[in-house]
Amino acid sequence: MSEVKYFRPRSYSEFTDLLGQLPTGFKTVAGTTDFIPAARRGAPYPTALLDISKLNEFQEIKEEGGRILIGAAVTMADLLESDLIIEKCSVLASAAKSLGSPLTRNRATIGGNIANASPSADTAPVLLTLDADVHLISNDGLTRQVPLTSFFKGYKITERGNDEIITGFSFTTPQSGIWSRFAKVGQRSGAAISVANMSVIIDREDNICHDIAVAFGAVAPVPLRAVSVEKAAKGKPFDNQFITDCCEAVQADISPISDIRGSADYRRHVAANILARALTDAFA
Amino acid sequence: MSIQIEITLNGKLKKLEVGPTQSLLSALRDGAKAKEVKDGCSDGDCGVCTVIMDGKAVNSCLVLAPSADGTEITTLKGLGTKENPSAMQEAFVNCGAIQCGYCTAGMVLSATAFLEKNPSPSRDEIREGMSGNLCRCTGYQKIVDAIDSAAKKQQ
Repeated sequence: MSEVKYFRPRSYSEFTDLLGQLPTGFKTVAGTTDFIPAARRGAPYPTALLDISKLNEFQEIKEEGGRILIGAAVTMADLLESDLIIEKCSVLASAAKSLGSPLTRNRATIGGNIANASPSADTAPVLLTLDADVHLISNDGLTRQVPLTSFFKGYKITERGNDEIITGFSFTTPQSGIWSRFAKVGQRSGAAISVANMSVIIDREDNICHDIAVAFGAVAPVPLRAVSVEKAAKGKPFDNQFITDCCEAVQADISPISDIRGSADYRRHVAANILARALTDAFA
Repeated sequence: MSIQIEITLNGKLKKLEVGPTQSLLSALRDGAKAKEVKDGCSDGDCGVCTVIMDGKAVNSCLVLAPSADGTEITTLKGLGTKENPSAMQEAFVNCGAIQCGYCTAGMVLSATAFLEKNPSPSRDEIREGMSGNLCRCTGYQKIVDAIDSAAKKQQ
C-alpha cells in the first residue's frame, strides 16, 4: 500500500507524456468519492493512481459541430450549473442534481460515474438515451470512441481496457422541442442510491410518439436501454393501450434483483410506474 | 511514496508531507494539526468533516490529500473567532442550532458555502443544500432557522 505511486498531470501534454510510463495496474481517479469508500471496504489498492482532476481539458463542457462534449472530470455540480446543459440537455442536469449530496456533487465526476459502472449510476440512463459515445485513450496513446450502449458488459464490467482512460463523452445535441425526463426512486429524497432510475426522451407531435429513447438503471446488472418499450411505443398514438403496452414491455427489458434497497418485485412495480407517469406527462 | 503538497489553510501557506492514498481529512487533522476538522463516518455520508476547498464545500474524507495540492482550504477556524464570529457562526449560536456540537463544524462550513452560491434561499432550498450534513440532535429545524436568519442578515 505504501508503494502506491501517484501521478497528477497538470496539462494535457504532461498527461500524454505520462501515459507510456504508467505501470501495469494503474487506476484513474478524479473525485475519489467512489474510490475512497471502496478502498475502505478492502478493495485492493492499485499500483499507481492517475489523478486527472486537475486537467482543464477534462473539465470542459462545450458544444462543437452539433455535438455536446463533456470531459471525464466534469463534476455533477459543474453539470447542474452549466448553462449549456440546462438549456440544451436539462435531463442530464436533473440526473446530476439527484446524485448524492451537494458535498458529493462538488467532487463526483461523470467519468467516474460511468467507469465505476454501478447499475444504479444516475448519469448512465441519461447518457444511454442520448446515444452518447465514450471517449477512451490507452496508455500507448491510441484513442477510440465506443457507444455507451455497448459499453456496459456485465455487473461492473465495461468495454474499457485496464490500460484505458475515459477522457470524456459526446452526443448529438438534442433537438429543441423534444420532451425529456430523468426519474429516480430512492429510499429518501436526499443523498440516496437509486432503487430504480430512468431517463426518457420523446419526440412527439400531437398524439403520436414519433421517436423515443428509454433507459433504466438499478433494475438489471447494467444500466440499459429499454428496447422493448421503445419498440412498443415508436410510431404509436398515445392512449391507455399505449401505456399498458409500454408497461408490459418494460418487464421484458429489466431483470432486477432483491437487495438491501428494495426487492426485485418492488423494482418491477416502480419501473413500470415511473415509466407510466413519464409517458402520461409527456402527452399531457 | 511521500508527496509534498502546499495548501493555503485559512489564509496561511502550509507545506505538508502526505501519502498517495491519504485522505485530506487525515492530512488536515494529523499533518496540519487542524483538529477543528472532525472525523465522523470517514465514508462521505455524514458531512462532519466538511471543509471549503476552492470555494466548494466537500467531504474532506473523500478527497485524496495529494489532490488538494495548490488549493485554498477553509476550516471552521478560518471563518471567525470567539471574539469575532462570522455571521453564520453567530446565527448558529443565537438560534440554538447546536446541541452536542459534533456536526456543527461541518454544518457551519456547508452553510457558509451554500449561502455564497444562493444568498436568498427558501427553507426548502436550505434543506436541500444542507442534505449532505447529518445532525442527530436538533431535528434540523433550528439549523434551518440559523441559516435563514444569517441569509436575511446578510441582505
